[in-house]
Amino acid sequence: MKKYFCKVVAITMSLALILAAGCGIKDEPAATTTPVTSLASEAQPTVTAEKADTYAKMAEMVAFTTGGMLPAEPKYPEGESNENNDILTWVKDNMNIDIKYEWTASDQNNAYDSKLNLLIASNEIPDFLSIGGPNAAQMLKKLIDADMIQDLTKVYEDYASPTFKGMHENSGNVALKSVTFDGKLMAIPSLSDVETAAAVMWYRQDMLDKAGLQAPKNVDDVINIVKVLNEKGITKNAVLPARADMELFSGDTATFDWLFSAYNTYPGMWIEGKDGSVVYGSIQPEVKTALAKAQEIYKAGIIPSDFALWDGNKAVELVSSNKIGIFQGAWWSTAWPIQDSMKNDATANWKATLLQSADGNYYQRGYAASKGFLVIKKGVEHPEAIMKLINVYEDCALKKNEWYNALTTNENAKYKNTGGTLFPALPGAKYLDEISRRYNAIMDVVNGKVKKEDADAETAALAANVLLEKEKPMADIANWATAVSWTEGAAAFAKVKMIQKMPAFDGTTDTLTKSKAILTDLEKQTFLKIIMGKVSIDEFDKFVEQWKKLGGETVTQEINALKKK
Amino acid sequence: MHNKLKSIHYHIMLLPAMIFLVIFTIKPLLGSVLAFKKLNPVKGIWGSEWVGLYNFKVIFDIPNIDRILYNTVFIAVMKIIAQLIIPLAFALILNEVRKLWFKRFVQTVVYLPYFLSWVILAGIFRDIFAMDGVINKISGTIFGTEPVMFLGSNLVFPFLMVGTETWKNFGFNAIIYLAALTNISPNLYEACDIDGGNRWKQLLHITMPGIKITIVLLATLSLQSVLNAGFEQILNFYNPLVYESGDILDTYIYRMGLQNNQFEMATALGLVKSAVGFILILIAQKLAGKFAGYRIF
Repeated sequence: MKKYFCKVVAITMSLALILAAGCGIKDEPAATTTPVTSLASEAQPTVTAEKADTYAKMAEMVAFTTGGMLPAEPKYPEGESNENNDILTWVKDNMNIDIKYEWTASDQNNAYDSKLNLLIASNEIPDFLSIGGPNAAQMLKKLIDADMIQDLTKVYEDYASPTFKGMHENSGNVALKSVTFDGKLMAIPSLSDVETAAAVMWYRQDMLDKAGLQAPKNVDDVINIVKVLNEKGITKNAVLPARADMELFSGDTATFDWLFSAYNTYPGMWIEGKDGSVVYGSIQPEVKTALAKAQEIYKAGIIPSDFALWDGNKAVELVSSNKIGIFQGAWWSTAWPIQDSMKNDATANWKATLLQSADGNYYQRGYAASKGFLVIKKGVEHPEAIMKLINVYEDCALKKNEWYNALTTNENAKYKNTGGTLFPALPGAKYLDEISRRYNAIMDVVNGKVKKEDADAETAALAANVLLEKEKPMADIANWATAVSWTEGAAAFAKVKMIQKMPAFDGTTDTLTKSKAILTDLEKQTFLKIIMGKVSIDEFDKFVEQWKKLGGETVTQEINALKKK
Repeated sequence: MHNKLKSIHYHIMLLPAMIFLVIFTIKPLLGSVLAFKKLNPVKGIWGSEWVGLYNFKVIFDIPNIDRILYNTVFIAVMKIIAQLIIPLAFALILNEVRKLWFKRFVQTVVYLPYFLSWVILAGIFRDIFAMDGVINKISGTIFGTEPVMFLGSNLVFPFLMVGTETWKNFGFNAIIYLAALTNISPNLYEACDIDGGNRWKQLLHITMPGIKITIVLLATLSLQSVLNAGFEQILNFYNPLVYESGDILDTYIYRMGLQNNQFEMATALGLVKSAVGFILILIAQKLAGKFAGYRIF
């Protein structure tokens, strides 16, 4: 008995020891993962030799790790992958920079963002990272609070190329300011194509022709179109697709942006108020008018009675099945969902336009100046190498580098159809109004004003798409989608003077973090109830009061205090 | 001693499972301390500072916490009751079926929805209960009623949740009862029949006492989920219109967490749920011992 007992105890104890040993190694995250090469790096590495040349090859090979975002089906040539391709080889040979991908994540369903969040929480970010998407500002703040990234002020000053600096200066350095905290530049921002946030109304010209209707100019026109198309039997019980799974307003497809913008209101955004301070868009008095209109529309059956239960897919089903004549999308809607509509009915003639508000202006929401930035982990040496990488990529994006063009956009380019971000640095627009500029450039080539050879490679390629579409309409649906997204979608706002309201604040504060869920719930529920007519429009005033009480007032004050700094 | 030595190989066979349990279930329990800390990623869980009951306070400071708690408990309790009664009733009825092949067939088919994920089932049910879905269409044609927005109604939503989950799970629970039912000796039934008992009396005096232990066991085990009203299911079904009656603790914390990956609060909530469940099991265990003479532990 005793012998048996001792045996059991012995086995258990040895197991416990093994386990404890295993545990022990795991539980020292902070101590062992700091890169061996670093010392507490408050001082920037003093590099004097390469100060002038922002493109110079690095003196010795430097290696960095990063994470990549891959589309669902990247089509790399045989034997190559995102970790092994000509572009990375070029960077290695010509810049002495070796990039290694620690991991990759899909670009669907916020997989990349989720992965980043996990890595941030477990303190395992790679040497440099591209951050983008709707939560980019919060992630940046988290990284700064956790002291995981380094100050890039000097790196930018000394090593950003004139082209890159010029791009930011052109936009008043807005993007740079948005990532500067306490006077320190904590990330290298790219510019976002702000115009993409515009809500574009897409409509079926063929249906309108049959009904003898004109293109919609304002909100009432849109309502009229839906009504008349139904009355004349061209559509049966059609509605304007709407949904409530995301915000009711977010510059995407089938939201209420078209309505709110037409009333010069910007719910969901922090904007500059009449007195110059930052206020929250959803509690402004004009929103009440817009909501009243939405209530009217709901009552008239123009939007589906159960739109609150709809999600994106259900909303676009109506479009792809060609059951409706008009919906709200973005300039790129030809890619989705209109492409599906065309597959089902090739005679559908979709056109796009922006709506005017009562005072004749084209008001629209805008994105924050920068939606993406690149951060460098604290303690990583030679951050200037990354800056040079960005410089080179900027030139590649501007089609200035022949080697890159040959690999990506020219005829029969090796990586023409690969998809995803081939270059391991952040992509970005060149101007905040890049889309309009590009549209004008394309049309110049199409109309013969500028010769194809004289235009930059991307413009030339897109112009070729447009011309091909003109010659052989609908020969290739992907070509149609690209061409029409420019000739109709981008044209919609390139041809008029759009007044976009940019967010005055795009980050988070302490109270906002705690209260955001409650405030958003309150807002969404109130708006839905008002639109569906479950409560009267005066509920809006009660909502404003409650919103302020539940923390909204505090958040507003915090944000304004931050702005003053 | 002889016996114990002989059975040591049973202990050894059990060992891998025990190790697995310790590594994946018991050791992570140590991470529960996260509920009392403010996570600083650089310092990791162990190095982050203690904030005491701060995270719990944040949870209970939520303005409509009483509404959310009420929803959670209401839906969970309804589910517990429904998922005790319906599988039992079904097992009893199925037990009466004579044709074995039919019995097995039904048992298997009814068991299947248990394996489907809520993502799929929610999509199906959303279509069925939609304004232009089957239910509304049939009701409109036969009874001439206006379409009802089931999924947007605060009245209907909780019961819809209970109903759909019971439909999904009752096959699985019924199997346990069916197994228990086979344990009752047929001699008892014969004796009752001879004594003049009809089917109903047989049910009351032989079947029920026979599976009393199983019922008590299942009831006790299901008590620990009183704060667990089915996060996956509700997440796939709910929308802002039914927050009032359908928002449970988990979905609210999920929405809060979306903004800022609040692992600490999710951990704190998990601790609260576990603590409540644990206390309830202890109570149920005592009651079971007292009334059914059944000791689980």
